[in-house]
Amino acid sequence: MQTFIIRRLLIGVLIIFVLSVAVFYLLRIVPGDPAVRRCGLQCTEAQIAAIREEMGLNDSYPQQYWDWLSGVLTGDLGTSQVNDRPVSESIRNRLPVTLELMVLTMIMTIFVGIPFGIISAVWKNSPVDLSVRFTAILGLAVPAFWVATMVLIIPVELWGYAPPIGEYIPFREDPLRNMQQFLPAAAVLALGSAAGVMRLTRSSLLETMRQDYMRTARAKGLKERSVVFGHGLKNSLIPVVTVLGLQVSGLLGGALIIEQIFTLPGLGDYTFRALFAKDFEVVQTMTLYAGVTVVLLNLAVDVSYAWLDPRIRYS
Amino acid sequence: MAGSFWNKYTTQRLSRRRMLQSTGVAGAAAGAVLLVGCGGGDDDPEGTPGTGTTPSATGEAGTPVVGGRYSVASTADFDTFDPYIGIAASVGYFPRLYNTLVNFSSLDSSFRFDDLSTGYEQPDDSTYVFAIRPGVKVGPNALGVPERDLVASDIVTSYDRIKSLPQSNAFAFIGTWVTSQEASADDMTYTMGMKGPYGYFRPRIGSAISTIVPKEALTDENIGKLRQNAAGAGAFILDSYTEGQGASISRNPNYYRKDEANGGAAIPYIDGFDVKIITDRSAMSTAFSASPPQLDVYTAADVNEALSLNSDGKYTERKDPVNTFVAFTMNPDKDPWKDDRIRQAAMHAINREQIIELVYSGEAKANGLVHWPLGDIGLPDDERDELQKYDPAKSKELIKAATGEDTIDITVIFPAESAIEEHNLILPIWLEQMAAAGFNVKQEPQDFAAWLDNYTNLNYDASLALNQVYETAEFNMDFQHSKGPAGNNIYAKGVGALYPDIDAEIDRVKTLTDPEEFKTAMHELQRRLYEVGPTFLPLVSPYSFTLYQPYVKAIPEGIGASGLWVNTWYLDGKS
Repeated sequence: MQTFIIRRLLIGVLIIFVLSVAVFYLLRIVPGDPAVRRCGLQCTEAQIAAIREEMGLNDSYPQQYWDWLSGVLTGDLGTSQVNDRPVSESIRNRLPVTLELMVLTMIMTIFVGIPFGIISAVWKNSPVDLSVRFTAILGLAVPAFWVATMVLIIPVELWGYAPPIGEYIPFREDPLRNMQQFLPAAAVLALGSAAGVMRLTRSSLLETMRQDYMRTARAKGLKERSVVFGHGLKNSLIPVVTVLGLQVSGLLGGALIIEQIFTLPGLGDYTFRALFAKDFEVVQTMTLYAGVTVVLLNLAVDVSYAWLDPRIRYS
Repeated sequence: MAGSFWNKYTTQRLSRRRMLQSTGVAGAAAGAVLLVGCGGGDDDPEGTPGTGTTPSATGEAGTPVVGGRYSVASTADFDTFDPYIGIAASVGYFPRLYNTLVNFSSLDSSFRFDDLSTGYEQPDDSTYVFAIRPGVKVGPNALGVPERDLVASDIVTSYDRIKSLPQSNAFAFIGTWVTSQEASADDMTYTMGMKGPYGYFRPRIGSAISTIVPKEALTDENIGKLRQNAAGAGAFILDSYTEGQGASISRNPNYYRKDEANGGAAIPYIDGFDVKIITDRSAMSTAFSASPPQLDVYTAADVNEALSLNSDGKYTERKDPVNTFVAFTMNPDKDPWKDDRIRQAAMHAINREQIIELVYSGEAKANGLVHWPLGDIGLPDDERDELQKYDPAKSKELIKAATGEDTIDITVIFPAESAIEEHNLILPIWLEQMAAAGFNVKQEPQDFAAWLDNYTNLNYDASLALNQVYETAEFNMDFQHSKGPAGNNIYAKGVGALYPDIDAEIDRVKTLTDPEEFKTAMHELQRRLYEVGPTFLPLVSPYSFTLYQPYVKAIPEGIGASGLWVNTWYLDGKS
């Protein structure tokens, strides 16, 4: 197992390196001079030149990349080229927001998606199953940004209610208002992912239930509950866990829009703004952050397979 | 501040109108330091606070009430509180935090706000001597700047900083036109020498981006700290700022100004601002409509949204002109735009009234070469409408005369997508109008960054430009100049490249400081431009619609961005 983890981590480092080089290069070949963007239409050439110098854009690409990478390796994530603020400080301020949003989203995804998947599988083709599947397809089909907008507009139209908007209330300061702020956003994000998990849990469990050992378990006279939960569920969870891992990565993307709509000042919002501003340092660092997160999550998913299925051995 | 539209668009994608409106003053783009009444400035040299007319106000005003915090939203984040490099949300708050020498309203030529100076004299056309007001005292701050009166040497230091920073927003004025500065021995007189007479002095001098910062805040030690701190003698002080979330701004206890209309009461009346960063429009309108409201002001997307939100009439509505427009730019270096007749054909192809009806539900007006909110320096409506008359048949005649063909192929670049709703709506209408007038438009939609690069480097035949916010007519006219709007051959090349007399006249008009002489010359210049076929055609400028909660009282109106300096408004009954 140890060798496996080390090997995967080394591959992960390679992937992240390639990713960072690609992002670094792509950002710079896309048309649009960040100095012009920052300066504006009335800027003179001298103004633009001064800004380019200030932003370090006159250095060669390898030099710029090395400056950034060596900073990252020594814990200096650089400064935003738009507002000159340290990226590490911004990440530190914003990480709790995104983390809370993702944790809540995953909790909802798991506690809605898996139970309803089981219900749907156990009562296959029943009205309950059909209802659950219909809802799941709806959840997958409706875009999250639209649902988010409706979640904001409908309560205010009907009851004049709106969650706290435009201010971040940490959980430790006011748990109730914090939940008012985060639950709707997490629910919107969880809608699509829970629907996916539900459908996968259902199909995976149905597949497992058709296995010989399940028939054997029933033949032994075990209760259906023991058959499903004791023998079927754990074995059907491997693909579900894989998808959950991928969904966490996907949530990083989904958060970009949802954080904007619910005005949650998290990393998604930070990345969104940086992308539009062509803020190289921030986009590079956030890509690195996303890459590291995905690599570590996938590693965690792989390791979890061994727990879910003892037949799986890593060497 | 001119041109900051581009800054904000590219860095934050906010609507500057919304940003300015969200500060709680006269409608947004009306956040305009317009040119009306530009000219020398020796009138009322001994001006007193509140000199000029008292602005009219939105929200029935009674006896002002002290207290309450004003909740506003900004679509953009604060980038810095350094007024010389700040763009985005920050610009709307510089007048709250800092001081200017004097500010003139362009919408109301009788309004003048003598701030750090009590008035000024002009010994000659190029020299301005300001008398410094005693008692303009720096507020409490986190930078360690002493709570002392601002003096003339603070202005010298502030403007020196602008002059040393080519990237500073006010460089085009201070860096280019101001050639000498001097503080008197007693530090109570400031003398500014210009390189020559400058007709746009009045709109430029009171700009938010050339406000005065105490010199201690501009030391090497402190300058970087202005990113998140502020120290000034304005009506408010910065309490705190959190990136991505907003800022808390409170009343400056040292603020010098009193409300003479209310028995000399101390102002500002409100305790402060809570500025929230809200990017999404639906979130913003939800926060405004919620009960209890989370925002005290909201700028609707258009008249229809304003009417819908205010169907029961519970909010106070404000309608203001907006200094923004979409423009069609032609490159006279490229065929077919070298030909006067083709440029004129394009001019007659545009049906502005149709755009006004379809895009703005009638709540906009046609622009001439100068956008209409800038007032009577544009040609009178009748004359303008005649000169640029919508006449597709005439367009076809001109094309036929120029090419011998019934139609002509042109290539037009434009941003493929825009965060600015109007642009997306205007584009297809404009394309249809051009086609109906004989132009076979080869469309080249481009990613915004690609478009901006091509636009910057004059790498285009013609472009439909995004909305632009210009607060003086200087930029409109410079677009017709051979050197373009920045004076250095980037972004656009004007028809002056074909007619040197136009370049000369644009340059000459800038030096006219008598308002009447200036207006007459501007009119003549526009007639000449129409005669040869202008290369830059502003389409229409709309009105903005701002809604205030009913407890917001006495918001100054009719003075544009000058309202940012006026702090006599108040909250009456906000729970």
